[in-house]
Amino acid sequence: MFLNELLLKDFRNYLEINFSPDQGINIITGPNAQGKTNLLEAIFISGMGFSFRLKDKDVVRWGSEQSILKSSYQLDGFTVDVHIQVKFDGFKKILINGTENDRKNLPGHYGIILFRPEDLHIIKGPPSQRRDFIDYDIGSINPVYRKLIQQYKRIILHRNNLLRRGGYRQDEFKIWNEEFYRYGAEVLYRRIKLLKNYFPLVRDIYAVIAGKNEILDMKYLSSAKISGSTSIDQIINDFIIEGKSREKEEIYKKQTLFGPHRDDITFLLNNKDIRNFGSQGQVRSVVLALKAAQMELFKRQSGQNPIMLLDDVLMELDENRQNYLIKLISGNNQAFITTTEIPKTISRHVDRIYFINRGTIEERGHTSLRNVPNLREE
Amino acid sequence: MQYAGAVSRLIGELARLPGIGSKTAQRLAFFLLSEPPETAEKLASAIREARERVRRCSVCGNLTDLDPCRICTDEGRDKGIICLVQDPRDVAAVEKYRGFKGVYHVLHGVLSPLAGIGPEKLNIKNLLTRLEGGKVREVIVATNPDVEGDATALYLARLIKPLGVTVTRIAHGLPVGAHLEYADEITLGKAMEGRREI
Ligand SMILES: Nc1ncnc2c1ncn2[C@@H]1O[C@H](COP(=O)(O)OP(=O)(O)O)[C@@H](O)[C@H]1O
Ligand SMILES: [Mg+2]
Ligand SMILES: [Zn+2]
Repeated sequence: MFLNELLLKDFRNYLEINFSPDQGINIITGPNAQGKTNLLEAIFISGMGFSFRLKDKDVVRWGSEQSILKSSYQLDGFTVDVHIQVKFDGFKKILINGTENDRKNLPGHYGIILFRPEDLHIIKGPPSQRRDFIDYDIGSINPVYRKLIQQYKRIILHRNNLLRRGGYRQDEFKIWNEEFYRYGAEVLYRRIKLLKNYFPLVRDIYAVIAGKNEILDMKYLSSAKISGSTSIDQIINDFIIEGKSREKEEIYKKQTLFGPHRDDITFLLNNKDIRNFGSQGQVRSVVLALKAAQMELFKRQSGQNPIMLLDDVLMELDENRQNYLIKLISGNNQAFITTTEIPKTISRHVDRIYFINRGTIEERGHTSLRNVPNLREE
Repeated sequence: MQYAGAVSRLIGELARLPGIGSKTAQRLAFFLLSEPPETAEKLASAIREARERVRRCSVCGNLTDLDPCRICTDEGRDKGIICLVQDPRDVAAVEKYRGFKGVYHVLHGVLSPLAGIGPEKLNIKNLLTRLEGGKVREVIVATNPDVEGDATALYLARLIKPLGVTVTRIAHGLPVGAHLEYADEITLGKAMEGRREI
């Protein structure tokens, strides 16, 4: 998948720009606070329909009524035109090939991968960060899974509400229990299936990045006692047993205490938990492996080479890892890489350089590499 | 913006209507106030009259100016099949598809702990009374195919089946998440024909 064209109007600090990137590696460089991340954000929104920053409405240029994002994607042989309008009050309209559509049908769901310094939280943060990464980043490839997660979360909201308020009828509670077990089991079953495809990729990639002396392992930690995950019915039975044994505790604590919304994943390096024992460099390598494996998984499942958005991560990696990443991307994937410097390890893989200054974008051909400030000499 | 007491009360009442935001409410209010008085009076009396005359049918719960309603008293309809819907708009939607010859029962909502709606707030007691007569063979549950509609269908199936009545669920023909109200006649027809026992 490729982004062929992007037009922005009143988006963040961009008044109006029109941008036709290369299908290979695009470097977005320039001093700080000039709009590099804003440009990646625009690409992300045009493909996914929402921002990776806090509120969508914040993207409207201060003092303007609305932002317009027009983009043109190329998938296999055909073109997808996306038109997104974000009003300053948060109202959003999405057109795909000229007709109004839902954000879930945008091309980015199986084709855009974002990698930024905050991703260290996948390892270091609370369990919810790891679940969200699996459910929304990795799981986004599968529309059925996405829908299921949404339904499951709503059921949990209903069930928690009953527990919080109390005074419900037993026959009513029984129904929400049944729905909780049924949907919860299906989420768990599909999640584990997804991870069975994903974990081995992460492990193998990590071995390439870090060498054979470090063995990475990932373990799924279920909040309920599960006897196996070979069938949904089996998981439902386990949930029923768990539910009975924890009923009193749930009523006392007024919330749902087990199920896939409470599960976690641990990362072990030579059998030691990285969260407690890993160095900063090791954590970065694991995150790099997670993203590279995501690329591979998406490619296998959708047949498309995903678009890579790398925000300020390049300079945080050492030369070996920069090399690994750039080799992985170059040749097949379109990439947008923001960086204040272009390290010499990657400069020969670069296809195009854009220089961003106060909301303007200027193309600097490969040949003028030497004219870009902050650029290391080859 | 602040308006004189009566004007802001009118805007406030209009803004409580579904689908009407504060901007539209302002537009409607100023329209009514700038037209001749008859415009507002006609609207007010139409609202009052409708509200006084229209009530829930004591049998099926649908909105009607005649109790029992015309559908419940229609000799040509099969009283042995009840289509269970969540609100009166859905009766209109199913009626548009002329293939259904049974009668209705309107729940006036679906189970939703988030919205504070439990079974006691739904029109279920009347349904059980209707089923006790023993003449009903099948109940088709046509609540929307979302989390709340599904839970409600399950709840009712557990309640009704022990009475020896077949309970079926439509909506397998409807696109996922689509509401009955918006279904066209063809998809609704398929959904009715493709109903499954639950
Ligand atoms: N809604 C907005 N309207 C106008 N300018 C904005 C808006 N949001 C952020 N900015 C500006 O964008 C700049 C930050 O851009 P960013 O892309 O994050 O910088 P960087 O180049 O360091 O990645 C800041 O100067 C900020 O003032
Ligand atoms: Mg930045
Ligand atoms: Zn009636």
